[in-house]
Amino acid sequence: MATSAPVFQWSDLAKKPTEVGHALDMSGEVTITRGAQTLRISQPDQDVATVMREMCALLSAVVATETPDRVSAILNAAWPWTRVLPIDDQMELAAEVGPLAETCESLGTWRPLLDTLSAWRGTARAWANGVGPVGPIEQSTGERVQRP
Amino acid sequence: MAKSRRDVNRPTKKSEHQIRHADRSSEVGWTDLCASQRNGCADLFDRLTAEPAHVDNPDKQHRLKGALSTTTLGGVEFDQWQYEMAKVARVWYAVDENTKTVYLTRVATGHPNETK
Repeated sequence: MATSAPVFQWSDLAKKPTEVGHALDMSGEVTITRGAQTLRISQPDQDVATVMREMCALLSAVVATETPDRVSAILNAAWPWTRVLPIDDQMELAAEVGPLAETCESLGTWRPLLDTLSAWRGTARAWANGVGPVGPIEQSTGERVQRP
Repeated sequence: MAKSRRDVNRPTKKSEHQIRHADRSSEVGWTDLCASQRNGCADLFDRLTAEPAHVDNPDKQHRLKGALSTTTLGGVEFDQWQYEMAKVARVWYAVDENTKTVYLTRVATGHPNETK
């Protein structure tokens, strides 16, 4: 008898990720739904690129319909390193990755998306180290940097 | 006649960028960073002189994003880049392609008391 994959809501990824993970371990596949959109995650040979594209598309979709707190909860569950970003930056990231993932799929290369995520992760590391915005600087000192 | 002992500065080629400090804090940071990561700073200097916007390793070198993505120098807004070095040190810079100048906007050594 065929068994159907357990179905979860998109928000369950943020609310009860352990339960989703357990279901994935037990059934080998789970279905995540949000309205008419679905995301299927299966083990062990899930196409990572497909997951990435669908997750990015959903992130962009929720930016348009959910409150910043809800978007932040979902984003933080997907990528824990985003927790150190200011909330406005989290919204910007969530809105950016969907169209970019579409572009990458169309191009046949995921490099632009991966590079963008690297840039966001590097930015998060700066925030995590207590480094904030610079300037504005009225006038550069103009001192040449000496090569050691 | 007294002998001069001043260092000879390496001239920049026409195709290269000159590198300048944006403010006094970057000068101090650069001096500190050179003291602890001399080779890394020399490599970074050469990289920024040659191709400041060319990325070999996006995990180490990238455009900053969000609120940190730009900085304003002398009333002009520039994209801001980050180069991450060893020991949590990081160098931020802005590139003025019109004057082929790279401005170091922040040099953070990663010392634990840096943000105090």
